[in-house]
Amino acid sequence: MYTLGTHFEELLRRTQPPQERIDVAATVTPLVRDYLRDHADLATIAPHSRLVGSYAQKMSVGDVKDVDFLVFVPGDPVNNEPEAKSIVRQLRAALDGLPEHLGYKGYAAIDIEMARRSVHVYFENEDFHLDVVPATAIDGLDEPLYVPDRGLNRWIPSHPLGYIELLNSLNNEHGKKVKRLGRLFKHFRDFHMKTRKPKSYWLGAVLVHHVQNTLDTDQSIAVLFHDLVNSTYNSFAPTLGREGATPHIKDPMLGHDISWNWQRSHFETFMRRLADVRDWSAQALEEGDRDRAISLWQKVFGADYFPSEVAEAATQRAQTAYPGKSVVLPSGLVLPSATAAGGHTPTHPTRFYGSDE
Amino acid sequence: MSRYSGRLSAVSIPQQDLQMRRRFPQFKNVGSPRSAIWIGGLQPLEVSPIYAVRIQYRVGDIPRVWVIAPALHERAPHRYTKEDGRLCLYWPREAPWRPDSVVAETIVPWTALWLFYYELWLDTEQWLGPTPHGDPVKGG
Repeated sequence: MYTLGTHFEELLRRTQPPQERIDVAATVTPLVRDYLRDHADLATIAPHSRLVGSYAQKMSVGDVKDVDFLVFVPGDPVNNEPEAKSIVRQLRAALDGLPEHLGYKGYAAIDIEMARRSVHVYFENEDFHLDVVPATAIDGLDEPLYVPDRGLNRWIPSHPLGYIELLNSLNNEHGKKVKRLGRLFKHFRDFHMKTRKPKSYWLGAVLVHHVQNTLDTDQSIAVLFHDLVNSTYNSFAPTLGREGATPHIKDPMLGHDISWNWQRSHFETFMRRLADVRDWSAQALEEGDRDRAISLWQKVFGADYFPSEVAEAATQRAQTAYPGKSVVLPSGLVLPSATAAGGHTPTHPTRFYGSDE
Repeated sequence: MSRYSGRLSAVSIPQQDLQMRRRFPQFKNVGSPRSAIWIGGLQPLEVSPIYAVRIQYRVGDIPRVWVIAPALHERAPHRYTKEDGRLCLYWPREAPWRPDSVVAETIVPWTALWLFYYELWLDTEQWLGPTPHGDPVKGG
């Protein structure tokens, strides 16, 4: 079986958002926090703002232009104090000056047509924008927050920070494979579905469910991807068999149905793509010829993303592990040099003897 | 080298065990106080599987290492014999293993490196780690 680790690493590298977008998400975060903290017309409370969404989860793929933020405001969400609608309006007014404060031109708008609960901050001549949602954290940041509902009529519970924590802890528990798997799952969707796509949060919830219940994450990322696709198909198959039905994906933090608005035809399309990819990935894992295995994975992820040849990337990886210079973590992970966290074992020089065929 | 006798003082199995628990706690000794058999998992790359590894060592002998699972490719290089499947982690003529060596400081990191280069070999059919036959990384 060829598990093609270097090919998968290269695939993951090629599906990352542009570096300048990742840099913007990182650099703008403290600037947004300071701007809102110091704003005279909008009361915010510590920590004032937090990056959320795919950039905070470190699970973004492709050219994601939305950089998502929460803004923390004081209030009593149960009694709708302050009114969700009025806070969103105040937030829009306050954020109108943000582009200029950051050295751009632009404006803020409430995204009513998209039926979202956020304020969009647009930047002229820039290809990213901020998506800002007000939140109250009456029980602290470790508990569910309250955000406006889609009609902006009341505050409803949501736990985006808990979801990020959950992803982080699952990723650490499972050898850093969970977020990579999440990114592969999203890339598969984006590559095979131009429309009718299931939402990223739904895919994330499916991923979390399978990691917590069925996936053996001791396996290579290639095997794990197939197992995720296969177990997802199997868990949705009974619903596909019921006329007009769609799955009820549970929120991984709060347990409510998050896919209540999944249309049947869109669900059927997703299942057809899932079946194709399940079959191709199974064949790729069984294939005894490396080139044929690569061709099958290219059907799954696209030939522009899954490389045919990785000699150069592999040589570069090899240099990072040189015995006598590299270190090994307790898990066995080989790193080019010592980590600040410590806990590593330095490698001693050696040369591997024996058959060199 | 021992300061007084001029001979290398061997590290006992309990001392080896202590170091193993400190550096690679997933390795459990299922052997005896005189002859250790450590079994544990190593994941050399973030996308690779966790390889189950068996290390056998008796004081005064050399440590021997096998990959238990997943099965190695039948043509995997740098093993003593295909039948035995034991990993070649160093060149005996250079003798990097000494009685006063600590398994957790030498053999286990070399095993992780072996697995790292094995994963690259699977992808390229080239052993990209250093060997006495030539050093692809350094061009030797």
